[in-house]
Amino acid sequence: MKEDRTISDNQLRKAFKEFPLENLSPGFMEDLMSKIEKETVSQRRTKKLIAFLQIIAGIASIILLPVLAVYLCNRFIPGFSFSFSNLKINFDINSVLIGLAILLLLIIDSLHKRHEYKRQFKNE
Amino acid sequence: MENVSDLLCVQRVKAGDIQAFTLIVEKYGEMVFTIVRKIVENREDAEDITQEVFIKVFKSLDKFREESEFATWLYRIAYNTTISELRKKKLYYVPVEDNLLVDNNIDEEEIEIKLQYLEKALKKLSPDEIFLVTLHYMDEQSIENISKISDLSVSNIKVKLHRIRKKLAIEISKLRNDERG
Repeated sequence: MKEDRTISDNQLRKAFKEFPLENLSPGFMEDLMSKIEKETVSQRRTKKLIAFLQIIAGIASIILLPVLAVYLCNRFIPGFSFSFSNLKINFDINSVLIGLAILLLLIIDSLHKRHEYKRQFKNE
Repeated sequence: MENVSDLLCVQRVKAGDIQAFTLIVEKYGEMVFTIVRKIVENREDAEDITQEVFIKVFKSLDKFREESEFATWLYRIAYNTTISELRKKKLYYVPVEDNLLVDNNIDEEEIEIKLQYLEKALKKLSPDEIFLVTLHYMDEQSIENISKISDLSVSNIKVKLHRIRKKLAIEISKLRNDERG
């Protein structure tokens, strides 16, 4: 029967320990960081574009969805009839003001947290 | 302690401090490059792949959930990127043939691994084998970590490492015989 020869775990571990790490070229870091900065700019642009498109889509859906729903109801539900021209909305100005105040507080709070987070890392 | 600083760097990069990423590259760059360099013959190709690895790491940092070790996650990206770049660029390696495994003319006492033999013998392994063996023996990653990096089971890695050690022994023995004869 043939003997099964191999290198032992320890021998290999010891041998690998002697291998020096390969040095990267001097310009490697600068090159990489400039690529990453470009990447960041492009990521920011993409994020801004997506955010803009989301806002547009949001506004469009707020306007279009009720119109579409009314159209479909008028078209397919027998006896259903609705027209936006007959619609009269009464704004409760107090509710609107309270809603806006809450929204403003939330925005101020998130900006404050962001500022604190950045300050904390700068200190570290 | 090392993991804490890794996580801190990651959080700083996530918060928009790009310069914190240089600390990550400084810490892991040479090890990633060393592993890639053992797989890819050409130095420029190895540097390109190393850059690609770190660009991918940067782009995917948002997906890093900080549940696993950062190094494990990074090496996983390095492993996948290297293998896919090899396929894409068709950077060829010479796999050792299985029939070499029946060659048993190695004297255990003679296996005194010299670095140049080991370096040459490593070139005969496949990229994923080089990855496994370098991570385990040079970077001292545990088999459990390598299992997470490579998506292979723990027992499969143990078997692979055993086979790799055999292949290396045979290859080193062949190199010695060539030198003598």
